[in-house]
Amino acid sequence: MTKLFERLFRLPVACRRSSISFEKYWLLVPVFCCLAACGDLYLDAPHGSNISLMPKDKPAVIEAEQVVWFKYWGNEPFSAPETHAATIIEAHHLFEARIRMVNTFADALISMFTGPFGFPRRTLIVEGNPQASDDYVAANPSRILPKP
Amino acid sequence: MKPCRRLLLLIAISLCMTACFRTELAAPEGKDVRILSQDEPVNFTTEYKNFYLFGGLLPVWTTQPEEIIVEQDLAEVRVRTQDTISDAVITVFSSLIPIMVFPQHVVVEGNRRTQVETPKE
Repeated sequence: MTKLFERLFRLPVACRRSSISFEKYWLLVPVFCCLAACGDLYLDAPHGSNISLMPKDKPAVIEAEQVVWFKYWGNEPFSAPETHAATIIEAHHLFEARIRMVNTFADALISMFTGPFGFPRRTLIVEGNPQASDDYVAANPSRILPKP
Repeated sequence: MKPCRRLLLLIAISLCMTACFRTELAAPEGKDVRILSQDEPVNFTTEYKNFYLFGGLLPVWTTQPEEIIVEQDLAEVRVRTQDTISDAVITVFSSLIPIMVFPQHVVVEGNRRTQVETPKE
């Protein structure tokens, strides 16, 4: 790691006076400040619903991703409903779900350029099984999992 | 090393540090847990920070909500992830030394199984 940074910044980690200069490390500070900015994300269910939480290894029919953009370095979202997993659950009519908040490769790449201007992004991922109507069950009998 | 290659290397290093930066809400095996909506009352709340080194590459001292659910025997739960001012301060100062600590603030709210009434139909 020290050789990597030494090559990257042409900075000797230890000099004759046994002092370490961190001048060029300051270059990393704004980068990581921007990566740190995020905002609040809510892993919740829609109002008035009865959504079961799935275990990790249970098969899921639906996997939906929602990219959430923030402004003012994460202080405010562009769209408040997008910060709630409940929005995804309601849109897909799920009756059971599990939720993840992640910082994907795309989030990191794009935030590298948009973050300095105050626009970071994160991703909400919801996996679940939809509320089965009679027509859906009749059309997809193999895809229906028993309710918990 | 040429400046453009140096920049590309810096970007590549930064991008690699995204894999472990995540919060997962899943039920423990064999447990019936319900996901709460944002406006429902709760009688249990806990907040903690997950720490990742090298910008998120290496998770250290992390706790997923599933562990809280088991520990507190929650029958209903919701989770919120935040980035607080203290997280930003920790990130800024830790980026001065090559460990680059990324904290993630997590709030877990819920109701314990012993205190939950008959589930709603």
